[in-house]
Amino acid sequence: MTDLDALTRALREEHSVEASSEGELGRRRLERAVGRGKRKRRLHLVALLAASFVGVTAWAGTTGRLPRVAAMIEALVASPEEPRDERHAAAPPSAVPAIASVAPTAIASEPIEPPPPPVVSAAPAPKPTVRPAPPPPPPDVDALYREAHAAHFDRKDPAAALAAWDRYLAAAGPSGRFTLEARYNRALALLRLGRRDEARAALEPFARGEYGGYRRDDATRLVESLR
Amino acid sequence: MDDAVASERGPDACVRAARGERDALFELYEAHHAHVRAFARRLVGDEALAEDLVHDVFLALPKALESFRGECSVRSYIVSVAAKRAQRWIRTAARRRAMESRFSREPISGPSLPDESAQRREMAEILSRALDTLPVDQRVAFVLCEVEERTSTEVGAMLGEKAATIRARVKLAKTKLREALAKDGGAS
Repeated sequence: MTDLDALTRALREEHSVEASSEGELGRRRLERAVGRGKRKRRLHLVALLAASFVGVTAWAGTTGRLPRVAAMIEALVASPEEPRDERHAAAPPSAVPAIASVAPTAIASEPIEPPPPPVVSAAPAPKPTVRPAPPPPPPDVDALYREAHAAHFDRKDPAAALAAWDRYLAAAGPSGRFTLEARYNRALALLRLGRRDEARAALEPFARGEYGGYRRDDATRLVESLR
Repeated sequence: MDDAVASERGPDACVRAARGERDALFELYEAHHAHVRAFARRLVGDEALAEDLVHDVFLALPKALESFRGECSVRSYIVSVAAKRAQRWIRTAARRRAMESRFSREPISGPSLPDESAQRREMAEILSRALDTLPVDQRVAFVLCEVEERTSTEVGAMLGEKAATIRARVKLAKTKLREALAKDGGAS
């Protein structure tokens, strides 16, 4: 007879946490899958653009607007030296040759009419509007976190890290995504600065289990060593 | 003391992985795959299917991290993602085991293992088969609390449940497991 505890122990030990070849194989598999996902998204985008182009061309062809659409496309992909706000000026002399170059047989037999005056140029210039200054953007809490993380782990500057953790905590609030980690790391920054009483006060909620099991054992050991 | 002073390094990678940075995803993989794999094997009881689950978890991780609010450590969060996505693999593994036991009452074990290892593997397989009789939520609670030795408070935070709910699930799971094992004639 085998009791449940022994079976539980066997299951735990049979699949213990250890480095294995599966780790490397799994990583390669993940790399392939992530790469495939990117390629798939790129293909979707290309297919979408191609479908849009075909749709617009078909519509323009059936409604007789193909030359105008072609001219618009040509204007869009025109060389960058051309000024962008040409459409506000008088009709460019290249407009007629552009149409002619797209469908020369269609317009060769017809007398060339002067192009209609561009509608946009007839419109009065827009009045400059005074917009109220936009409200200041909310703080980028992720950027604040990265800044604190860099000061704490990369530069190993506890004073800068402490200030940065405080800034993150002020911006993220009590329900921030990494508030728990930030509080714990802030306590460690205090400890490294030799501010033992403040560090102990910051660690005590962790040791009391106010944040569940998160870092509870570590915090308990630290608090005991700070008494 | 040194262990205690080791800070949380994971969150930075979480932020970057949630933004879709590949390198950050692989940092998280390197840091946590062994624990996630061990959990997946314990939960599913089938190494190949557990491997599929690990793959699925890390593929889904960037999206899952968008809703990470620091309720638990990064590692526990990734394990909780595995727990929440495991149902499909648990079912497949249970079907596979049921089919195996239909053809043979003897568990299929690896070739010529030392006695101790063979016995441990056999015992693990017995428990995996018994776990197949449980609903998924009880199975997850049992594996996290009893096999992985996490507290009910921690598991509650991971799964978004009350600690009392987790304790009740574990208690029910143990009762059912004892019944299943007694019926199977393998354990008390």
